[in-house]
Amino acid sequence: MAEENKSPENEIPENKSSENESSVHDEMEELARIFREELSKSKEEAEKAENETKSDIANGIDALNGGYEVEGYAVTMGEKTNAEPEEMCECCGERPRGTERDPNSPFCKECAAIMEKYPYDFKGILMLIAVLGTLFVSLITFVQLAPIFSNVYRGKAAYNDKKLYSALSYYSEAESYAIENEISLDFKNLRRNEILLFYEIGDDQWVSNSFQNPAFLCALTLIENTYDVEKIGDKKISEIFNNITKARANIFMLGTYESDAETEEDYNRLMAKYESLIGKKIYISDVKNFDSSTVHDELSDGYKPSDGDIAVDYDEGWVRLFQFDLAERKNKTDDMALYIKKAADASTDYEVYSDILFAQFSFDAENYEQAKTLIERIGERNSESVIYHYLLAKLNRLENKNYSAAKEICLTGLETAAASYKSYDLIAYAGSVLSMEKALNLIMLKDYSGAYASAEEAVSYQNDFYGSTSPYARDLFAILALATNNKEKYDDLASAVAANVEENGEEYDFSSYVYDYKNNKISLEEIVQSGYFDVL
Amino acid sequence: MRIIYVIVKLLTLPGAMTHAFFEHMSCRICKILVEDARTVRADEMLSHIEHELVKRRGASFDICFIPFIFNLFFGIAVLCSGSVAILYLGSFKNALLWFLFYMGISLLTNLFPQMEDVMMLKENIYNGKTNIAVKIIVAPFFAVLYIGAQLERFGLTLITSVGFAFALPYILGLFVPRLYDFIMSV
Repeated sequence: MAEENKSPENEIPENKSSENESSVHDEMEELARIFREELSKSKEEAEKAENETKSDIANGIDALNGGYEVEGYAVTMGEKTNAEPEEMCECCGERPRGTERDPNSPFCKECAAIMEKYPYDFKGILMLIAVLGTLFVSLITFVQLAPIFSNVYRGKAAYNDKKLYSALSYYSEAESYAIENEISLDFKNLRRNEILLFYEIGDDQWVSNSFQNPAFLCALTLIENTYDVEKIGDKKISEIFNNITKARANIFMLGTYESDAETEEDYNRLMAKYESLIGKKIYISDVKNFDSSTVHDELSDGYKPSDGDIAVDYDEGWVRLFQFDLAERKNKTDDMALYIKKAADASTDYEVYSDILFAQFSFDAENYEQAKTLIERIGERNSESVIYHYLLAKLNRLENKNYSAAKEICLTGLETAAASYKSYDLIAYAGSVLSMEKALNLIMLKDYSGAYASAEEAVSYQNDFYGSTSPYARDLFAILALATNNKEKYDDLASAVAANVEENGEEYDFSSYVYDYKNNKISLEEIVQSGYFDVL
Repeated sequence: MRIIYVIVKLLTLPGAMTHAFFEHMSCRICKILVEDARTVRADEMLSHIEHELVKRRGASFDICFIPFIFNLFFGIAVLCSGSVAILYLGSFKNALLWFLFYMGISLLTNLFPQMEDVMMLKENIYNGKTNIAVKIIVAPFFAVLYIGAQLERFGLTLITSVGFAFALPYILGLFVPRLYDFIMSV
């Protein structure tokens, strides 16, 4: 506006009069009025333009909102006017978030409906089918294995409880089931359990009879069949193998020196020979074939050990037991006492096996204290042992003269055998040993009819177990038939014996005790105390 | 640790895939939105599926517990024959038994939910709004799931499942012999 007032048309010459000054003033006033009018016009136009712009923006927003009207999501013009801008679905990015169930859901309703029913991954379905198939196979396999597992599990529990015959029974059942059902899996741990068990049983006439071998040889056979004996790789089994091999080699080699030693000179020479063996080596060239061609010692003439030989030491414990045996056979009481003590001091590396023999020798040497220690040890190893019950009853009868206790021990042994072993074998074996011992105790208790019944049981069990009767059981039965006035039974036995003597010779006749008792030369108690029937 | 976790998951792929499947199944049952349901993937989501954050108590528990219990049941059932035959009876030369053993181990290695789900469960259950009785009842399950999820983060569930395989014959021994006798007597 200032530029406009300075235009050439509005300029006033400086040399004009006061009239001219008045007209200029008027003109200026007129210009000011025009200026004010123009200014107010401009202001009005500006305000009008601003109002129009605001109106256009508001209309535009309304128009935009009207275009997104969705079923269930209708928003009124009035509500939207003051609302914050809407967040879109995380999945599609096109529709607003929120579902009916969860208004704060980051997904829209359509996407949520799809995601709720998201299809399963095909690979997952295939894997589930595979797992179900595997499950089926596993269950079938387990049903087949369950009887074996059950028996082995119980066998192991029985083994840990020192009930070795029960354990053997369970393992045998597991083996039988596997064979019957043609389950040809190689159960190495079952074999291992059996090896430990046979090793712990050591030697027992029952096992020898049932398995055609002493228990320790059963263990050895299983080791040879299950492991590579050159590198067993199992510390415990390796120790067992070494102990059995050593015991076996000792018994075999010491047996080769055994002789009747008829003269005193022979006796002394043999004793010295045994003594000289202590500390010497035994060489085994073929551990699977134990005979004179494969087992030698340092004293064997002309034998040179080779690199492949297994070398074991002579075990002093075994040597002492052989010396005792020789002294006993020659009835050298002093030597018997000496060597049983030396044997106790030396012990063997395989006590489980030697203790049974050692305990019986202790009875022979009338060393009851030592016998007691050994019997306790045998019982701790196998509370079901028939030998344990037999020796304990014998100890009570011979040392304590407690015949009632001895009889009860025999009954406990018989009950244990009946309860622990499912096969009749052990029951028959236990019956053949313990019924005899029970009969002897009943005689001492003067219960002759009870003793007769017990002797009859012993004869019956022996027939079942061995297929024949031992002369001891037969003779005791005959004596008790006489004692109970059962003449008919005695005559039956006597006629059978007579027939046997006629066929096989005098050694099959009754012992002198039968005839002496028949002729009233000896009493029943004296017969028992003679020790003639104290045999296994 | 993440590498070990993924390696363990890949080593036990059948179990991981089965767990993912059951997790998806539980999502379906509980109407939880699933974002990615791939069962095979080479990342930390292997054996799990991607789903929305679960805000409901029941659904939160189900999504953790259903895959756990299914994998546990299947795992034990598959493992029992392999474990008994191989570890207890010592039958080492049978391929089928080894396969069953592997499948059982793989299922038992992938029992647990991912840590986020367990923490969500904690948030949903152990807040002021939940009944104290529910909190007590859920506590042992939560403890198992929480410890398991922690172990799984470091791949240690492989070791625990192998340990369990050794213990399984002794657990079965508590009732299988009696059950066998009972069946035989019937």
